[in-house]
Amino acid sequence: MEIVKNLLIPQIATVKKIINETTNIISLQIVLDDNESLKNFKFEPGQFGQISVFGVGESTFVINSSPLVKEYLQFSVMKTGVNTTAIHNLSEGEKVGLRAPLGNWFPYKDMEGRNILFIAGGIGAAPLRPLIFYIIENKNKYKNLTLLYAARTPEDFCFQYDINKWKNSGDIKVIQTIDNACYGWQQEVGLCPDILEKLKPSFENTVAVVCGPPIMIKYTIEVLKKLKFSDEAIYTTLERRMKCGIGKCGRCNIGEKFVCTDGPVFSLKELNKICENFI
Amino acid sequence: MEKLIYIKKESLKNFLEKISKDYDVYLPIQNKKNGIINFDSINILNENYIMNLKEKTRQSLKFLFFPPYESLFEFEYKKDIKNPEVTEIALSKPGNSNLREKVIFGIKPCDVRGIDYLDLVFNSGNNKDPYYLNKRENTIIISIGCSIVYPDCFCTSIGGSPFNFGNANIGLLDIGSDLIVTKLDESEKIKKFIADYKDFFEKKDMDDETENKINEIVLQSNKTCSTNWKKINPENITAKMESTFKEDALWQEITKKCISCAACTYVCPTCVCFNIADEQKDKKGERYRCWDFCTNYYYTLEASGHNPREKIYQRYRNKINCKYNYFIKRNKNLYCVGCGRCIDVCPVGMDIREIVSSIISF
Ligand SMILES: Cc1cc2nc3c(=O)[nH]c(=O)nc-3n(C[C@H](O)[C@H](O)[C@H](O)COP(=O)(O)OP(=O)(O)OC[C@H]3O[C@@H](n4cnc5c(N)ncnc54)[C@H](O)[C@@H]3O)c2cc1C
Ligand code: SF4
Ligand code: SF4
Ligand code: FES
Repeated sequence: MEIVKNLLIPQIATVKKIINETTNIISLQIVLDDNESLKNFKFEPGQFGQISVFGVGESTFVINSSPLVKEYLQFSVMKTGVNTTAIHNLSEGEKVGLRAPLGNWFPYKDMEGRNILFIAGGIGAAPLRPLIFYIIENKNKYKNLTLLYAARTPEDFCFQYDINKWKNSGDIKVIQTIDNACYGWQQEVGLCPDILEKLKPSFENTVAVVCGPPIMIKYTIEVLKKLKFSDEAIYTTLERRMKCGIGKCGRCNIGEKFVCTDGPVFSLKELNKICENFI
Repeated sequence: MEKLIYIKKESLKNFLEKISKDYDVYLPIQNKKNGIINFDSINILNENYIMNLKEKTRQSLKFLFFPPYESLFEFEYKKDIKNPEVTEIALSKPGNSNLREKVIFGIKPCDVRGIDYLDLVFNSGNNKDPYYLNKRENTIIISIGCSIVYPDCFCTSIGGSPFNFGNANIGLLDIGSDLIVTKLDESEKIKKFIADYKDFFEKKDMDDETENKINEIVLQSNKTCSTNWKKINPENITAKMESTFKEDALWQEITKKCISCAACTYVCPTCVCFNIADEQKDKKGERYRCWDFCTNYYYTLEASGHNPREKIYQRYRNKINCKYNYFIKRNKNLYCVGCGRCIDVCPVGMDIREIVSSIISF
């Protein structure tokens, strides 16, 4: 009889550290209990995992720690419903289940030799974080790096600790924008697509990677098209409700593609071939 | 002259009883009280539950390999007395519940094809499904061709036929007095099976009368079935599905009767979407999967309240495209076997043939 790996059974992991990112987003650093699996664990920037709180359920989150960090895996969770509330109620030391890594990843090799424009909205910074870490680590292979990061208010930025570091090191130019002006804020004010239009980044030899809520992705892509970015040079990650994460349960399809196995990372070129709208 | 292998109808009961000593035998059984026919174990046969090889079963056979509800694993929260701060979690897989080999007897050719498609989903590529394989392995499929074709049958429209036995191990043709073996696969397993029950597999020379009978039945069934609908070409249909996808008004019009009840997906041999959920009582619980359906509003509803397929027509369009477009792109096959069950069961009279015809003629 053929031995088939059971991909629906999670591995047990321990929550080592919890970081408060914003009023409704926390980051969890988790460690697989099985030492051997932890040692052999490899993932690529953009891949995701399914986190279980046993008895409540399983939810999908992108792995957002640096692929170069081996000690733990980080996930950031916005409180929205049943599972995410249960995750917010966890304490350090408690157990969760993890099925990871799942899905495809950003084609960072294809981006070598080019400028990269990262555009994030809110928790959309999560999928970009491991990619930015990877690219900064290999920065001699890439040209200029820019991050445009939009959030509702100054309190809604995740990973402010990274941003401060990045700004200081000068490895990547960071531009932050908030929806409405507020006291003490000295950076951009306005919605992400509007600020992008104002900044007018050159499309030449540049790849844009856009992650965030559907509506932000939609309008940001429109501006990128106006700025003459080609469909091949625009990447995004998509979300669909998921269950199995391995292309079986059918739930996450957009047209003939499964977001869980064909995605979550897509180029606009690929998305335009699909008959169903991706937003 | 060609040798005919056949099973005498009068010895069929003995044959099935005999094989049920060595195998778990499933066959179409009719509940006399309500008339409903479904696949079930031979062990339930009695005066109220009788074998019925003629009509279609209400449900397809998928439940045997992919049950409506299935435990994926169990979990238990445990406290260590020495280390009371830490709560451990123990997981246990459900064991291989049934390792006896199965014989499925009397399955129709369209349902055999249905199993082929389940295999394409659960038993191909990198992510094979152990729950499915465990049940699917060691199964002998004995199919009987359709001497009677019903008005909702349309396998001939989509590349099947009432006597195309596909991947069945044994294919039988009912000529009234006998069941003629018209397909026998070459595997060692089937050679052994035939040898084990050789008393029931009779042999004689093919005679003109039998040959004529067989030809007549095959011709008649094919003819009837092909009048039920037009022929569908997989390549043309994907192109048509693509070009009409954004015609929202068309889709709204042709799906306006649908009430999103899911009956059609439950009876369909190829609909295999599932949900996964947890259940817990005190410290113990299980994670299970259960059938789900893409015409359900909650299927794609996201935590933010955003629903990519908010309207029934969008969900029904997904269902039809899944079968007549997406699956062809992914697996080169139409994901419908033409069994007609969805037509039979729909409370508001949606007919997949009419829907697809409207698309084609748009
Ligand atoms: C590839 C991918 C990566 C993601 N990464 C992150 C991340 O890094 N941080 C983050 O906060 N959120 C992320 N999400 C969204 C996150 O999965 C949902 O917010 C979460 O599942 C909601 O679960 P809930 O039980 O709290 O919500 P409920 O509405 O109570 O959910 C009920 C069920 O629907 C599923 N579900 C609901 N919405 C979604 C959704 N948008 N995507 C997938 N499943 C959903 C849940 O798993 C759950 O089974 C990601 C989604 C995808 C598809
Ligand atoms: S059985 Fe009929 S009404 Fe119910 S979901 Fe299917 S098509 Fe719609
Ligand atoms: S879609 Fe309808 S006709 Fe086609 S296989 Fe499913 S139940 Fe049978
Ligand atoms: S989540 Fe099950 S198919 Fe993608």
